[in-house]
Amino acid sequence: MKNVFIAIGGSGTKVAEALVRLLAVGFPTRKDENGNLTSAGDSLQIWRVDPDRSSGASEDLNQALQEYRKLQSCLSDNDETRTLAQSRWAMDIETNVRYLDPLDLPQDGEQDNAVKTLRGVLDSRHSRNGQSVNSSVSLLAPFYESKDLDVQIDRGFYQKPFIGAAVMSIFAKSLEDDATPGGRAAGLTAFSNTPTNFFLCGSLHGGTGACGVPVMANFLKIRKDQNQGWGWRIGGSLLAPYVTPPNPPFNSLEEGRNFDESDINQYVERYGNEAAFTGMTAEEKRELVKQILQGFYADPEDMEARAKQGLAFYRDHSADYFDELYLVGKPNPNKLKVWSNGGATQKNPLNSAELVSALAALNFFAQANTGNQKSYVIGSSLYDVPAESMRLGHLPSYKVGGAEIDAEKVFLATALLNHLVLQQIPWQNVRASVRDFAICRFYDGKESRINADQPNFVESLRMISNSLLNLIRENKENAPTGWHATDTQEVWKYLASDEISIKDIEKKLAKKMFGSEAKGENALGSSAAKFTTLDFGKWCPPGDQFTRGEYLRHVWSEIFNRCQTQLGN
Amino acid sequence: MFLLFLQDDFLRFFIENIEPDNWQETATSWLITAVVVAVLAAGLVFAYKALRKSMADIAKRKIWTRGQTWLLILIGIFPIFFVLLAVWYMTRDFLNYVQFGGLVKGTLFAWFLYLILMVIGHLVSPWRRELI
Repeated sequence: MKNVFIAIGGSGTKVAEALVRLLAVGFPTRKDENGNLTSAGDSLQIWRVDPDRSSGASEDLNQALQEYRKLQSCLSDNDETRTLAQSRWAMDIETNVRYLDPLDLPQDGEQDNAVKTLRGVLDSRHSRNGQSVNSSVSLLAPFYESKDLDVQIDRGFYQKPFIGAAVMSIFAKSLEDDATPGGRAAGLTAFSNTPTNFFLCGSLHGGTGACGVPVMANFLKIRKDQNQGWGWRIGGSLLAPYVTPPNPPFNSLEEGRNFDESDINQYVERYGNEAAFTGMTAEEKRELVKQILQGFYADPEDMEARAKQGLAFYRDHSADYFDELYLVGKPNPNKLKVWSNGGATQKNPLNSAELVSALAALNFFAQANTGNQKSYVIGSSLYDVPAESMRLGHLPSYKVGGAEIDAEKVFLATALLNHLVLQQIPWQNVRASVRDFAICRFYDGKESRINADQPNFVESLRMISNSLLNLIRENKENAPTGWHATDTQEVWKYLASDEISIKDIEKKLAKKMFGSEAKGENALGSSAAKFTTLDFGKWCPPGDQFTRGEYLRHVWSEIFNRCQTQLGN
Repeated sequence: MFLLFLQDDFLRFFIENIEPDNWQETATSWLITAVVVAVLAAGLVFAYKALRKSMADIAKRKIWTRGQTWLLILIGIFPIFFVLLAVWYMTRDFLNYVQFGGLVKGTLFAWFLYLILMVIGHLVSPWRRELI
C-alpha cells in the first residue's frame, strides 16, 4: 500500500521524524505472506509543507531519513545511493522529502509572489513593471492590519493561521497543476488510480499546521470525491498543545505603540547575543526583533484558546474531509526552556506526544478503522498519564490483521532482537553451530557471505538502537521529552554489550535444567517475553534465499509473538 | 588384527624382562590394560562432552570450538597416564617384568589408541565440525 505522510509545519515535521524512527524500530503495518507482522511491502513518501525551509525539525527529519537509508541498505543490497530506502525489514521510504514550500507559488512575472510577506503574495502585482496592477489592498484592508501584511513569513506563520490560510489556499490550488513548483514537488498525477493513504499532520494551535491541515485536506478530499474509484483515504492528526514555549527575550509593544529603526538597533544591541539570536546575521536579528515587538511569535498564554478555536473550526467545517482524524495533546504541556521563533534554532528532542501522533499514522496506514464517520472515540486510561514521565505502557495500541500492536512489546521485541543477533549467534564458529542455529546452517560453506553480513547486522542494529533511544529519551528540564527515565534505562540494558548486562539477560534466556522452559522472563515495563536461546536458534525464514532484512523481521516476529503482558501490572 | 597384536614380536615391545617363560601372558595383560584404559578414557571423555552439551542452558554454550575440543582431548591423556601408572605400580608382575620402559611404551600406545578413538569418534558423530 502506498502511504503519504504530509507534515505541515514544525510539529508535523517532528511527527514525521517519529514515524520514520518507529518504522526503523520495527512497528508493523501489515502481515506478510508468511504471517509475520511487518511494514515491508508498503511504501511511504513524506511531503513537508512549511515555509520554514531551514527549521531544526527539518534537519532532525533528514538525519532520521539518512539513518533509515543506511539501515535499509545494510539489510538489503548495500546500495546507499538509491533514494528509495528499501529492504524486507521495514517499509520502503522515499528518503528525499518532497518539500512543498507554500511560498513557492506560480508566478505571472518576476515580481509576482516574489516577496515573502502576505502583501508580497496577495498584492504582489501592485508594482509590476512600475505600474499599479490589480491592487488588492482595498480588499485586504478589512481582514489584515498593515503589520500582518508586511511580516516576513518565510519562517512560518507565527501561530497566526489567519495569515497562512490565504497563502495555503493559493498553494493547494497550485498543486492541481503539475507545472507549478508545488505541483511538480507533489507529483499528484502519479497517484491517479492508485490506492493511497494520505495522512496529514500539524498542530491545532500553531500557524502553519493550523491553517495548512484543513486547506490541504480539503484539496485532497475534493480530488478524492471526484475520483472515488482510486481508493484514496485521508487521515489526519492534530496536535493540541503538548509543549509550551517560554516567553521571548522581551515583550511585544502594546497595541498601537510604534517603534523605529533606532529602537530596533537598541534591542539588537541589548538582546542580540541571547540564545534566540544564535547563528543569525545582523539583518536576521533586526527582523526577529521586529517580529517580537509586533507580537509575531508563539504566545504560550494564547495556545489553549487557539486550540479551542481550531477544534470548533474542525467541528463546523473540516472534520468531514477526513476518513479518520486523531487528536493528540497534553492537559499539562511540557515546558520548553529555550525560546525560538523558528529556523534552525528551533531544535527540540522528540516528545512523547509526537510519538503518539506517529502511532496514529501507523494505525491509519494499517487500515484500522477507529469508530466511524458518525462517531468519535475518546482514548482513555484508568489512571492519570503524567505529561512529564510517560511510560511506554501508556502509549495507545493499534491492530494489524487482528493482532494487537502494543508499543511496549514492540520496543521489547526489538531490544531483544538486538541482543540475540549480536550476542547469541556464534558468528566466529558458524561451522560448528549448524545443529543449534538454523541461521548458521544457512551460512554453512558461505564464509565470504558471513564476512559481509555480520558487519551489516552490527551496523543495522546500531541504527535501530539509535532510533529506539531517540524515541524515548529521558525527560530533562532543558530538553523536555515527556518520558520517564525507567524505560530508557531498561531498553539500554538490552542494547548494552558489557558483560554484566549480557549475563543478566542470558540468565533469563537460559533453559531450566530439566525441561525446555526458560529460567526467567526478559521484561520491559509490564511486558515480558519468555523463551530460550535454544528456541531462538531454531528461528529462520523458510527456504534458502532470504535477505538480512527478512531474517531480522522473522526473528522479531517470533519474539513479538512471545511477548505477553505480565499479570499484576 | 587382534592376533597380530598378540604376536611375540609385538608383545615384546611392551615388556622389558622376558626371562620368565610366561612373559607373553604378562605382556598381553599389560597391553589389554592399556587398551581398556584408553577405551574407557575415550568413552568417559565423550560422555563428559555429551553431558556438558546437553546441560548447556544457553545455545551458544552447546557449541565447542576446535580449540576447546582439542583441549578436552589432551586433558584426557593425563588420567590415562595416572591410571596406567597406578595399575602398573600395584601389579607385581607389571612392576617386575614390564618395568619402566614397558610403562612408557604402554602409556604411549594407550594415548595413541585414545587419540585415534577420539578423532574417529568425532568424525563419525555430529560433532565432527568441532574438530575439523
